[in-house]
Amino acid sequence: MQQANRLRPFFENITFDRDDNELILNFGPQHPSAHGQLRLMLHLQQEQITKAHPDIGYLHRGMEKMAENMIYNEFMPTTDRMDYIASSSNNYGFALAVEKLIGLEVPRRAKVIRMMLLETNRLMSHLFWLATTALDIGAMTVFLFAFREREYLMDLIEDYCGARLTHAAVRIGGVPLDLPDNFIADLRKFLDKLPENIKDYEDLLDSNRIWKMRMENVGVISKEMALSWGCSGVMLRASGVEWDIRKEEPYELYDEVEFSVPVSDKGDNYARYKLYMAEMRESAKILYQVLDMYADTTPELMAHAPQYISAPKIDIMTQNYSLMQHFVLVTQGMRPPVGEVYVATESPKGELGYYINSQGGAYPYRLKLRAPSFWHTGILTDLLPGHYIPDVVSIIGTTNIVFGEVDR
Amino acid sequence: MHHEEVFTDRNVNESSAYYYVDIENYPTTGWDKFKQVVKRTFSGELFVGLWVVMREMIKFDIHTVQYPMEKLPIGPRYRAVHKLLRLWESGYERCIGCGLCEKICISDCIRMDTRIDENSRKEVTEYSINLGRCIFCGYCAEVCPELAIVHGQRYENASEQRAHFVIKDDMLTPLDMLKAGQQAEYPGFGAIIPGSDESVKKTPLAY
Repeated sequence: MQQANRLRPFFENITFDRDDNELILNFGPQHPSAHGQLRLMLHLQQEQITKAHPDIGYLHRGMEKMAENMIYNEFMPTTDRMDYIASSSNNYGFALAVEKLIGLEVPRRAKVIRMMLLETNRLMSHLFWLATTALDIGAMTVFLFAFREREYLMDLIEDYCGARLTHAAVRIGGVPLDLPDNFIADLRKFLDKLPENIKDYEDLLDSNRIWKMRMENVGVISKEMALSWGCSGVMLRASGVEWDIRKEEPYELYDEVEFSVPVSDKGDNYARYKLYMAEMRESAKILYQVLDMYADTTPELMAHAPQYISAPKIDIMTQNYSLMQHFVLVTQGMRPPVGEVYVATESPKGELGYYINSQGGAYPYRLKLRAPSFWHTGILTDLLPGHYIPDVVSIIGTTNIVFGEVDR
Repeated sequence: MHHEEVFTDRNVNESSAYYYVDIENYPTTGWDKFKQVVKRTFSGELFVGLWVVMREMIKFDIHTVQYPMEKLPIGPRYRAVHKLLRLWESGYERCIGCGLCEKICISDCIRMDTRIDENSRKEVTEYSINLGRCIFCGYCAEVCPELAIVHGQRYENASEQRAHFVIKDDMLTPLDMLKAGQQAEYPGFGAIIPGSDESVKKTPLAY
């Protein structure tokens, strides 16, 4: 027990003299490699980690509670702030959950546009992942290259919905806008150039000895470990589990497009890197098919369900009944039937699930968000011990955690 | 082991649904590791990477924008600082003070005050958006039944005082601009689908 005096301040939680030679390192919450607000308490023996304790909550905004005090439509922009790297995926997951709750059928053009948004968001997210992970490991060129390509995609999204990061680009029952005139041509131009760009990244990284030494056999997650820690997405598939919700429970038009999902049984950082690169190619493949689907759709964008969805603006401005309905739906909110629903979608990070319990009111009684990054942060407890400090950075990088989503 | 049972009952029929990426096996024995070291020492992959960077350099394909002097164009649907539009014909404010934007606003940053004027019409006396709170989600433009509140293109909104963020007169189209035909309709959230004018039928006057 310390004696508190003016020269030696008293800290009740910290023992200064330890006999086991263990150092506790606070990694974050402001560490640039911690991808946001991750605080890791690492117990070190020399450079080796003996115990890792992720501490989260620095970005907690209480979204689940916020949802209980909002009408369903109002919650949509809040979901943007979860995985802010690919915000349309979050919008979509929520919209799909509510649509399932009320049993809405979305018009085909809205579905096609949603598919475009989902896959461009996946590309954006994967490019961002590649950029930041490469930067963490020291490959600054890849960071600049990947951000350049991501910028093109963000410009496309900006043309569509007017925002670059927090899109709010999906609505319950459809999408708010049709594609702008040059969108399809621009996206096609981008996709035509994408294989070249991916090849550039791979030339820089794939066989680079530094990259390989930082990645190979680092952060190996076995199949059992991945399953018992609730991993999903690339984290799960890199460990040899064939599981992709787009294939297992197809939503939207994923059962109409042809694509295959890359898997690996290595389970290490390098396998995850390879999967991200392969998924980008698959996303491009999906986007090509979806672009072709757009032409033979009718212009409806929102489902026709006057009880839940406002009429198109032209009806609101010309027809009295639509206007009244619109006022009721905005001021009071839609009232889905009593029931509960859980809808999981494959977001770029993994399984993004929305659980909604509706008691028939305008606000959800309970809304639970199952964000993949949360579980991928948990696995760090088990994954990091035995590794060295530099490996922490590359492992956090390949887990692809985003703290808007972890803390919610 | 109980995990395995879950994965037996699947509804994925295609055989090509999943494929294994091509990663060569890592060396395990000492001899293999030695061979890898030798191979890596003499391989020229770093020069490939160097070439990729050099190639970009000698292209002189420079896209740097000298920001305050030159600015990138932004899309017409961009959601920046709001504008209040006027009616084309009469020049009156479009806003009827219904309060839908105030209600839907997620960050609760719109405030308006209305009164009944001498002609017993509703008049919007105050309309303010606290841009310090606004998250630019576009819902106000989307719910507006009169296409009155829309997003503009102004994204440089630094100010010395918070009070400057909220002024109605800054958002409202000036009358001379309207007369010069410089007021633009907003094609983003809440816009009318182009070409839907044709589908509108006139309300029959005689029922």
